[in-house]
Amino acid sequence: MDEAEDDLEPLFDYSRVQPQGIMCLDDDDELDSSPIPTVADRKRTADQTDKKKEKDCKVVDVVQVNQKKDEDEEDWLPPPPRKIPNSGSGFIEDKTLQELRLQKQELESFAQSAEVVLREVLESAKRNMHHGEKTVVVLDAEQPSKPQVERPKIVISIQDRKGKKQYKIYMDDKFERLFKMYAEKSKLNMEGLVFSFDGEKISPQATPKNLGMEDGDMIEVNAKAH
Amino acid sequence: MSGGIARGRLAEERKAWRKNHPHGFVARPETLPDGTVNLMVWNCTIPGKQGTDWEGGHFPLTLLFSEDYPSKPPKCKFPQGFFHPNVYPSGTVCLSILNEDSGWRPAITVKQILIGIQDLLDQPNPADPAQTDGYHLFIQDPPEYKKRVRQQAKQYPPLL
Amino acid sequence: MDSDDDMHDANDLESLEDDFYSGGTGIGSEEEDDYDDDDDDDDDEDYGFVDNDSDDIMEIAANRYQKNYTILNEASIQQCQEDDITRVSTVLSIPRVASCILLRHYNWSVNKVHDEWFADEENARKTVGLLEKLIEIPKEKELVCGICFDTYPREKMNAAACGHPFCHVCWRGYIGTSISDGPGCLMLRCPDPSCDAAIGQDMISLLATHDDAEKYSKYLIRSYIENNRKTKWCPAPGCEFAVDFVLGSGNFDVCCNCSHTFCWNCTEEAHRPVDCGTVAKWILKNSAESENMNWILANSKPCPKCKRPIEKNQGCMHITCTPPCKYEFCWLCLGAWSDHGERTGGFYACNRYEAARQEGVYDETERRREMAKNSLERYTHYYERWATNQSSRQKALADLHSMQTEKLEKLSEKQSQPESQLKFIIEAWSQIVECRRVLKWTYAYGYYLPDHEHAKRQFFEYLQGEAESGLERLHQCVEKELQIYFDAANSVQDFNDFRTKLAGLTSVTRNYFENLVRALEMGLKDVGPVNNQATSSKTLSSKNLGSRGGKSGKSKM
Repeated sequence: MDEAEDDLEPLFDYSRVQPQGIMCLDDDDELDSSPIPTVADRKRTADQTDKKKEKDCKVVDVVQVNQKKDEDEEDWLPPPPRKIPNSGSGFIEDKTLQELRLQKQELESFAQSAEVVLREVLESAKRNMHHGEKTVVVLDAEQPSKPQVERPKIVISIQDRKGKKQYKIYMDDKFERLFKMYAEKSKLNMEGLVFSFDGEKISPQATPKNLGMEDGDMIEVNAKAH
Repeated sequence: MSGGIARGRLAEERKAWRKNHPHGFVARPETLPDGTVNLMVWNCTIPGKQGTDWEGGHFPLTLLFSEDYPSKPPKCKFPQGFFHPNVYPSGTVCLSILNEDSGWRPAITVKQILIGIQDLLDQPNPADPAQTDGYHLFIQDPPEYKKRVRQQAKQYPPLL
Repeated sequence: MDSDDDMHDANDLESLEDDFYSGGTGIGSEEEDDYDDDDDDDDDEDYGFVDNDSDDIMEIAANRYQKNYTILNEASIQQCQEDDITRVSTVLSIPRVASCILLRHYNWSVNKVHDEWFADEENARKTVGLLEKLIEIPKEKELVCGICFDTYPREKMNAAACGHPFCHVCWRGYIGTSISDGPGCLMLRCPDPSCDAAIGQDMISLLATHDDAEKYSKYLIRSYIENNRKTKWCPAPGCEFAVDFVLGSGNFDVCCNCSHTFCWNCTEEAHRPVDCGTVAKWILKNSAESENMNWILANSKPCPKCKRPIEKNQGCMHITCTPPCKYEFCWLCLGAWSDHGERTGGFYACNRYEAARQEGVYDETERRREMAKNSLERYTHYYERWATNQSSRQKALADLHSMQTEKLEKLSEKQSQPESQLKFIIEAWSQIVECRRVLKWTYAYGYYLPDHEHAKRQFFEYLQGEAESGLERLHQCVEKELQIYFDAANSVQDFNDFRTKLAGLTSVTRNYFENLVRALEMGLKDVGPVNNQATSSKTLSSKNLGSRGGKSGKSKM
């Protein structure tokens, strides 16, 4: 697992991430009612959200603030969220989301600041890498490191009837990409699969962050019932 | 003394569950209307074992923990009127490891409880009947018993 | 009861007693204990109602003097327990803790432990949770406690022989919970669900709170008495003595050091000559009767023959009483069924009853109440006498106590006799207490004695009457005749005569009651319709005495 950890390092290179804001504009999401923010808008919103979130529920996620534009964009990179999922006043968390976040809040109420929490998350991520008994598939390897601002990511495992595999995913990355990849690897049609967390279906448009997921969390995959 | 550890232990169990648990099972603490999480009540789902008459059912089970947990076992309840020889009409599961006077040990985890109950579904204990309906059919009319079990499994389809 | 009759009988016996006294005086004044042996002979000839052959005498003597039980106090219980543990530990070459676990599991039977162990050591170990080899706690620096799921350094963890580590706080909680749940804590196992390793007292002392460890020790002691087949606690409230009983030794009466006498078998108060089953029935009846009285009055009729109340819930008028009575009668007119049938209107009517009713012979409600009363009266008769003897016994106990604590000392001063020489007075009072107890239970005996066994019943009532008058005499002597010796100093000769008389009466009464108890316990089996004519000496003597005691027998009807 040391390798995996090595692989991890470049991932904290923030610069890779920046382009996504724009790349996703075409990624339509019906659920989104708020207008697509401009880059500037987005920056502002992100800032606000970040603060708001910290204040509200001490959630761990760190949102990139000083995003640069159009750098290192690569095909495999996930389409960035068109907007920060929980930004905007109109955004209403669904029940699950709220619940999960609150659980998380309770579990981590000891956290005094985002940094402390972040540090812990990273440490636990490393620990997990050591202990993880399954293969870790790194979604975004081979990136030149340009460490500036970290875009947090977590390890998530997907369990099917045969066993589980671990995947690394950005907190704000839509599950869609992960699901697609899983389907390809398992040679299954993604349409025929249902992914769930805590007994609730995960929308491909959701992100680990808005489901309140934590490092090491496990999701389940099932064949769709007919 | 030991009561004080209930929440800490449940938080740890929840943490462990999120990272790993048997496929098809769900176990999560309930969320109260005001949004707070109550670690003392868990809403769970037990999948019927494959290859048994219980297959296809996703049976809802509530675990009610007391402040004495893990010194005392949680109370485990299916919905009222659940059909099974070892489930009381109230839905409470009658199982040796859940009996504080005999089988319960504080090192038994939520995961072990749920798996224990999944096993019990298809392997009822006729020595310890808790309801007349399920018990009598199980003893006297196995075909009808099977039918009822399959019917019940259909009543609880997967939630997804 | 008609006490005049009783006294009359008592007077009849006076001359016989005199014979006895003259025979016993010489020895009795020297050594009181010798009385008994001599008395047996004199007694049987002169006073006894049942003939004893010499074997019986030996048996009585054995019963009387060899206690078949030992009274244990806390210290001696602990000592016995320690000794048993040591024995097992030595024989099996295992630590004392392990031997204690084994003994507890096999209900403190040393033999059972030895048998099980030597038959199949592996199985015995498995059954009780004794591992052959100690398994160490995993060698990691930090370990997760299996109960609270927190991480602790290895040295902060403890495990039983199985090596499953738990933190101190959780151990304390686990043990504490189990101890507060009751004596089941003595069978405690490792908290790990898949592990059966036993948790012994060493772990308890190491990990439990001081209070819990104390409680555990108490449970261990209690278990030694309660799980052991041959020991029981004295049932008297607040009494902390236990009784170690020699099983199979017949007589169940136990007298605890707290002075409570009880039956080892059923732990009710001592109830010879009545058996445990009858006692249970009688006690139940006493508790149920008052509640049932109204119901019986309203709904039942007593069998015209045996007077037991009968409830008719359905069916025809032909009633057959339950065995042993089996009397067949008509529910309406209560006449014998043999007079009924077609002539009287068949099974669902009774024209004899109808006719009589027309003539105004039956006042239905009046009649019914009277019948119920008959059945109740019979019970009430026995119950009252049972209860009277009970309260007489309480009174006698109080008198005995006051004699022991104050009066004896006064008497000793007045008569210039050392208290040790006055023991015969205490013995007389103790005998009265015991006799009241026996007498009390003869009334339960009498209640269940079937009415139709006339000979038995008659004989029983005669014996009971004799017992009562004999006891009255003893009581009279120790209460009234003793009084004058409190008032003035008498001559030594005078007092010695009194001593001889009272000690003699005590002894005679004791013998009589012992014989009575034995005879009733054997179910008065030499008396009965069939072998009434038997030529055994016992029957002969019974018959003789029976005719003489006719009066007092009648008084019991």
